[in-house]
Amino acid sequence: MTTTGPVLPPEPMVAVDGVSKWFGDVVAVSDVTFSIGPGVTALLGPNGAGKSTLLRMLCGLTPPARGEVRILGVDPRTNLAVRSRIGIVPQQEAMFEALDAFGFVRLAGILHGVADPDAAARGALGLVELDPDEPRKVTTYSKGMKQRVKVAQALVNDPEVLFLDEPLTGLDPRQRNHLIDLFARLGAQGRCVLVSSHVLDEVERFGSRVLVVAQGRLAATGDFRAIRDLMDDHPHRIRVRTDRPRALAVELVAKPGVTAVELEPPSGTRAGGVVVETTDAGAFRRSVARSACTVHAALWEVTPLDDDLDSVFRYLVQQ
Amino acid sequence: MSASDLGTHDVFATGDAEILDRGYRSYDGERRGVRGAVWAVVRHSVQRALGMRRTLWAKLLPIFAAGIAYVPAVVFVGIVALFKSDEATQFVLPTYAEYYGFIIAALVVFAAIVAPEVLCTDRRSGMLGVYLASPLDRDTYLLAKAAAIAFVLSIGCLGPPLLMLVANVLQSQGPKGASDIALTAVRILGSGLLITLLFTGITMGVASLTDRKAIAAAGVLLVILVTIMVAGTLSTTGGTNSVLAIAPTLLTIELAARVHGEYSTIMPGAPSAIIWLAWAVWTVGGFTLARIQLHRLPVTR
Repeated sequence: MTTTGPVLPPEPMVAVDGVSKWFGDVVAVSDVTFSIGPGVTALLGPNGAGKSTLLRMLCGLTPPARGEVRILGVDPRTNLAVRSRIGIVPQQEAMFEALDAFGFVRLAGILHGVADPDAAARGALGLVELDPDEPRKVTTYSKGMKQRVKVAQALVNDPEVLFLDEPLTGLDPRQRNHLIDLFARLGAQGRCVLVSSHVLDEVERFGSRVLVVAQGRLAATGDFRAIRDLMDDHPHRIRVRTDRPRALAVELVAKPGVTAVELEPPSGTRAGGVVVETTDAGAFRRSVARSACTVHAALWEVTPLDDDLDSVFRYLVQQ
Repeated sequence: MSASDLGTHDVFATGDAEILDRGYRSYDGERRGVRGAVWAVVRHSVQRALGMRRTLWAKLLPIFAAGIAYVPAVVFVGIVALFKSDEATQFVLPTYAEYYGFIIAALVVFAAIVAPEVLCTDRRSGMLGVYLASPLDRDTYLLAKAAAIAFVLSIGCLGPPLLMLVANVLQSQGPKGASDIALTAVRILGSGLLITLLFTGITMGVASLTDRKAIAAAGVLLVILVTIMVAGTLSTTGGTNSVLAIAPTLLTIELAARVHGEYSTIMPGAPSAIIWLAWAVWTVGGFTLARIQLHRLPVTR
């Protein structure tokens, strides 16, 4: 007879424990702790929140003033070998002006110790839809093309962990969609992809797993919808459009969990509605149809107004 | 060490979500009122002055300046330990009052560092407004700062003579008998306290005139030097040595001598009333100037 022990969660690919970083009197990152595994995770925060500083510490480019960083189980500052398993798309544009795209990405492959840098460079450039035979120097490229070259150099060594700092900057919508799909595929392959951004619709398209950073502190982690559900100090706002808003409002205001009800007058061709604030969105959704039946009201629309990432971000970051 | 040893787990593996920081929230804990606020200011100001919880460089200067005040005491303690003979030690060792003559320069430098660090930083960084948004008002804030400065300065003003007393008693070279020891200790504490308050008042008054630490420190040194020059000139031309009480450094040595009941070579024959008046003018005047400056400052409260 065999016995099995408890199923342990898989070891995180990126682990940060009590990490802080300050520059003189300025605290850029304050006591941040989290760990993430395979998949795409968004690092979300306003400008100056400490995202780039945190990424630099994860890449081993700067040491934390306090705390520990582990990438694939080792310290990236002291274990240089792990850096060949990391891909980095920095926010800054810093390229060797004398090189074309293929030369630049190939050089990155050589530096990472890739076995066949030529093939790796061609493959990486193909992933980002750039022509490896383009002879122009990278300095003549558009902003979007330069950005794609940066992504390609991050992928040339087939990394297990990818850190992307504002990777979609300067890209047109089609290129954005392409790279978003690429990152999602990489995450689905079991790589750990951490994308830093302050553009919310960009972040929302990466998925629902977020790390929210504000003023150097980690404000929230997890699925942003689950985070929204945890915000009991911000009742959910839900719009209900109906032909009998007053009657429905009277019925809904008495429901448990409903904290406020507001009538919306009709507007042009749009019917009037009721905006409900409730602390239990799930219970409300389950009961709104029954309430409409009770007052013989037709339900035309039930729409959450602040269950999106934008609302979560605003509630967490704005003070 | 593996990541799992750090006690962390993939927050997404189990679908967990956490809000770790909701930003501003009202405080529901204990409120300790004015006393708590004063104690907090004193504590943090002492830490600031001594460079505690800061980089090594912030500690070096205050420790070095205070340390110099202890060097003669350590040397004299060593002499006491080596030379058991009363004759030898009386020839070499200064009295507790004369000791201040050895360390007066170090005390001046130490005092010139401490008060600007404690007072000027708050005005420059904007913390003064934060402090005054607490239960503190301008007077309780100043009181807390004065207590912190006095505490730190007492390290240099009180510590070395006390160290000498302890060493002398242990080596049987000092006062004999419990009553003598107690009397000597009281005199050391008394003179040390007077000198501490003197330098606290002077440095607070000068530091209140600017929000720049370096300028305040230079100002303290300038006041000390100029007063010595003026006092010396007046004494030479006027013929009386009572005017030397204008100079805080000379006043320090004279004060210590008077408290210990010793003959002083600085201002022999000067009426004690003059000495106490000079002390009061410098000390109270310095505090008063600091208070006036603080009350004139435009802050939120």
